[in-house]
Amino acid sequence: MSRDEKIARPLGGLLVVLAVLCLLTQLAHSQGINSFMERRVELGFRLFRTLLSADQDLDKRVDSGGYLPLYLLYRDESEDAQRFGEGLRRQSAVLRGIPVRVEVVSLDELLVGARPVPAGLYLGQPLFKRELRGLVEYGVANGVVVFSPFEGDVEKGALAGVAVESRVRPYINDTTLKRSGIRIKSFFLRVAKHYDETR
Amino acid sequence: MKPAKNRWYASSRWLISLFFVVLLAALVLSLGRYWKTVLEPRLRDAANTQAQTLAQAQATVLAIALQEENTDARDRALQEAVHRILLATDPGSGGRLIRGFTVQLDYELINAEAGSLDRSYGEIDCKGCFNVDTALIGREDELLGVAGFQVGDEFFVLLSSDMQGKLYTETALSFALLVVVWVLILVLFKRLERARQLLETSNLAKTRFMANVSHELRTPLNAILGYTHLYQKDRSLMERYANGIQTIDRSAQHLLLMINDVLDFSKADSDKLTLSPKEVVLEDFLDGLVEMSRVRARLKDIAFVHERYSGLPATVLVDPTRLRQILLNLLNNAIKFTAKGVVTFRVTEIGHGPVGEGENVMLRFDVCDTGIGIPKDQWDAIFVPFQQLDNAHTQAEGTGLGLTISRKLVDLMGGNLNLDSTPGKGSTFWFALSLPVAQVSAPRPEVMERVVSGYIGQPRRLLSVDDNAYNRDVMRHTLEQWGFDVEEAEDGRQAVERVNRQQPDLVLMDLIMPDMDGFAALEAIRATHPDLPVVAVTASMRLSEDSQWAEAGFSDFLTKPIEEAALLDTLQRHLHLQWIYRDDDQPAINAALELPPQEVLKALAAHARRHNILDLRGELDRLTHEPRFRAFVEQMEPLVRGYQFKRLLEILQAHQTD
Repeated sequence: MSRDEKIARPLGGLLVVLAVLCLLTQLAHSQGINSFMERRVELGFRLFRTLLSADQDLDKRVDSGGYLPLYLLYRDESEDAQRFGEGLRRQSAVLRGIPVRVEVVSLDELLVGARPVPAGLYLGQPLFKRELRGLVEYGVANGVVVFSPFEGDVEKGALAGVAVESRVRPYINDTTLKRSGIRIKSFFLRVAKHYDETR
Repeated sequence: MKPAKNRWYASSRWLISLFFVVLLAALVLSLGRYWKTVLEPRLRDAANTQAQTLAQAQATVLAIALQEENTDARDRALQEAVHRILLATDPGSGGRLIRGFTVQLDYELINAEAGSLDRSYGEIDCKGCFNVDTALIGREDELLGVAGFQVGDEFFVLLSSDMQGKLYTETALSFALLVVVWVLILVLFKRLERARQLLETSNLAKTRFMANVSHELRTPLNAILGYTHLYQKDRSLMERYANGIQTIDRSAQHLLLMINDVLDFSKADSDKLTLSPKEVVLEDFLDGLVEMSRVRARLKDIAFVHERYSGLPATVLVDPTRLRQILLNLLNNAIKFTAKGVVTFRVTEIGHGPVGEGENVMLRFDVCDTGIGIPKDQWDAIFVPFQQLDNAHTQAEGTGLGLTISRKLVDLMGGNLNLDSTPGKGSTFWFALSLPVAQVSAPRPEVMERVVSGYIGQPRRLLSVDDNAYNRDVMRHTLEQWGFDVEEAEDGRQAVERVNRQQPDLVLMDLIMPDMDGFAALEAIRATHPDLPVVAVTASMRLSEDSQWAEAGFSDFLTKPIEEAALLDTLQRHLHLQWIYRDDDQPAINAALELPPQEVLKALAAHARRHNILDLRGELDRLTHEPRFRAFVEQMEPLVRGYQFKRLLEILQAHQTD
């Protein structure tokens, strides 16, 4: 073995180890992000249901089949969306005695009007600002609850979300609520955290 | 100066104290503010979070009880939950965790009569409690209602009390530390001030010591110089002991020069140097300097060049004594430290102010040499007092104060003494002065000093008062040669007695004497002889400069060693005398003189006309070898030494036959 080879071999090995370490670190990081987001998505299901149960006009949102239609929205990750939809479906068989139907719907499909207006919209994937704005306007126009479990979306206009502090509380955008004309029971508003865009 | 410094130190002490008081106040205020704005809210947040977590747990218990289908079972479960909630205690403080709570329910979701379960439990208006509204969530995540819990603040109180205690302890420690530093600084400052005062006192003592020592040295010098002057006038003594007498005279003059240096330095050190500007004929002034320096240069066999700007003003207003002192010091140094080559003395005009009244001229004086030069790292050191004494390199004689004094004097005149030097090549000392141009041409100083042999009129009686017998003796001989009757007194008391008894025409009074000093004696004399001229005589420069003599009522003042001219002038002014000069009885002297040949006399006159002192001296040296001309040489030498060219010329012309 030449002197150069003696040096080159351990160096090559070291580089491979470093590359693997980098890859693992990256994976762990993305896994961490994903698990954090998934936790927020799944945590939000209960608050979404509580919010819907506090909707004073919930009975009027029942479709012709006698179901309360709820859409789980996604942008491009339909696989994750299906999984989340299944989770929401499992937890939301009945709401205030009304049977619930959960559908996984793409944002584009919804916004082009290919779907009937639901009783509530649950965001299963973070949206770009422009897309979120479009969704919020849809919710305001149709008087539908738009619930986003993702951090910062309520501040950007989503009607409701998750406020994670020492305890988990619903988070309400008062401006959007007012604009959309949805009537929420005062009990809910009393325990929720509020965000007012005008302040 | 000193009160200002003391005021500065006192105000600095106050400023330091003020600084620390402000610092302590800032510490207390900032800690109070830190508690109010940061720590307390943070603790309250922490306690609030704990209260919310606690309330959430209790809300779950309540929600489970409320969802019992059976009314009785629900009531029982609700009762049990209420007990559980209200009995829960904090193990840390021992206080109840939940003081009370209210329940408001959504009766659309609960099977009960509207408002029947909306109740309050426990203490509702709890002061200081954390009020936490918590959602009551049903099995299907529906919102059954809201429970408002009053969570006790024991946790917060306990925590804040702990934190406050810690903060107070830390504040007290910081406070104490600052006070210690404050006290330490004040103590250090006090010590520093004491050290400064001690330094100032010792400096003052040093200056006084130097002044006193110089007085003590000048007193015997007065006697030595007096005697040498007297002996130099005695032809028979000079024939036998000329060399010894002249050596004593030169040595005494050298000592006097050094003492004057020390005195000047001590005055400069205590900012007492003053200037007495006079109208000075620049050409004569510079000629004198050049002649003196040229002689010294010739003796060292080096060239001396004088460059003078042709457009120099005729007369300027300057202190001639001090300017001469500076320039002579620089020129002498240049010659002293130059082994071969040339010393150049240059005076140029580098600018002038407006013509007319208040016209000023900026003159630059350069003294260049080709001597040993000074390394740049020693440029500052050569201006340090006494530096030369430690300078093994130059092995030069003198006090080492010359440059220090010169720099101070140039500063005083409004200039800066500068130096450019290259080791091995030479140095240039230069300074520029802005001098007022005198509009009226000053009369040329009378350089001729005629030899006084007596005065016209009745003999005058003088009283010489001095505790030093040698000084009295010198004074007696000096005065008697001019024809005065001289009485003596050893102290003030004797002087008063002699004045009353012998009625002198003038009194020469030493100031510092044992028993009764000059001031006390004057006071006693003035009581009976208010108009008698009494001239103060002292070796103390301090007394002369403080003008104490004038305030005390002395008619005039003379400094020891007494210069003959000054003494004659004083006597003439106060006794209104008309002197008889030795040349007035010239025929008698001439009779004793054997004159050199006419061509020698002509040559001497030519040299005197050109102020060529070296050639004058050369001619006289040659004549000294012939004993018959010694009387002539003795007559000429004092005039040559005194640069009295005009007088020389007069005498030489008088001796010439054609």
